[in-house]
Amino acid sequence: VSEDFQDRVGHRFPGGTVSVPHWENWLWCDAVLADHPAHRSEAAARELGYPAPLVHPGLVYFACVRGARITFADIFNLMDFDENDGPMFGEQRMVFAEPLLEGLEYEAEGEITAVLRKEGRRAGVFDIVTFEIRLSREGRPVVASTSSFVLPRRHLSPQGAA
Amino acid sequence: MSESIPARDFGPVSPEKMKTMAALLQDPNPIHWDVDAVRKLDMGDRPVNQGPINMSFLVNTLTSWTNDPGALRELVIRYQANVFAGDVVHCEAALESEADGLARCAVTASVDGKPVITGSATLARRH
Repeated sequence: VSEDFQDRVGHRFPGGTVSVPHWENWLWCDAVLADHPAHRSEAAARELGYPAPLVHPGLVYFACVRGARITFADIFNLMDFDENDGPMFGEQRMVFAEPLLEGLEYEAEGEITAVLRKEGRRAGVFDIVTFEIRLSREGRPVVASTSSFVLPRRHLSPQGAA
Repeated sequence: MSESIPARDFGPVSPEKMKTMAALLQDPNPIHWDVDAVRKLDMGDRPVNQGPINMSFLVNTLTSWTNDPGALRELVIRYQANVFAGDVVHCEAALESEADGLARCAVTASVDGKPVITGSATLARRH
């Protein structure tokens, strides 16, 4: 175990398969005011050339996390981080080769790709942990998600830092 | 670049939608559904909208323009600030280039002129 957590880089998540059922996509679209009919109706999706309703891209990130068999709590544990210390989302990047479709099964795999320690005058010491998850179907890449958490290391920060 | 991407406003943001989202994400953080918890943290007296809802508002704005929710090829975002129940989220995208059927743009979601998400996106366009 290294103090700067570099030994976490390369840690692979269990991985597995994931599919997004209609009810989940429907409720997500309702909650985020997504009004395009191709999210909810197979007929509307077919009009655009897709065989099934399209999973909302906002929900795709969470399908990635679920498919890789990780929880945010797992990542905090792996980083010896107390959730009460105020983790923040860092940059999120999603690259789509094609849209995710309702009801289809996708394979997921992922790993931690970087841990970066930084120090800011106001923020104090913090680690940025970055992880990548890829979804594929029948060997074809579908989505790659790269995202990070910012983890304040209050015990390493000068007194008074955030 | 003569074409522009229409901006969209979402809201006033509903606390009821936050409850649905908390259940979907199995997110135990009470700032999204318990006003007392928000008050105890000195964050005011309105629930905090989930970041993924704000991000999804931006996505809706982009895919309204393409009229194809499958058009998104890349999205890069950074969360900048909280959105609270009752806020109106203004989403806009500035087209920066278009070539080979791909449109690239800078995206911003803001409340009262203050950015809550910034980033960039690439969309495939059908002609």
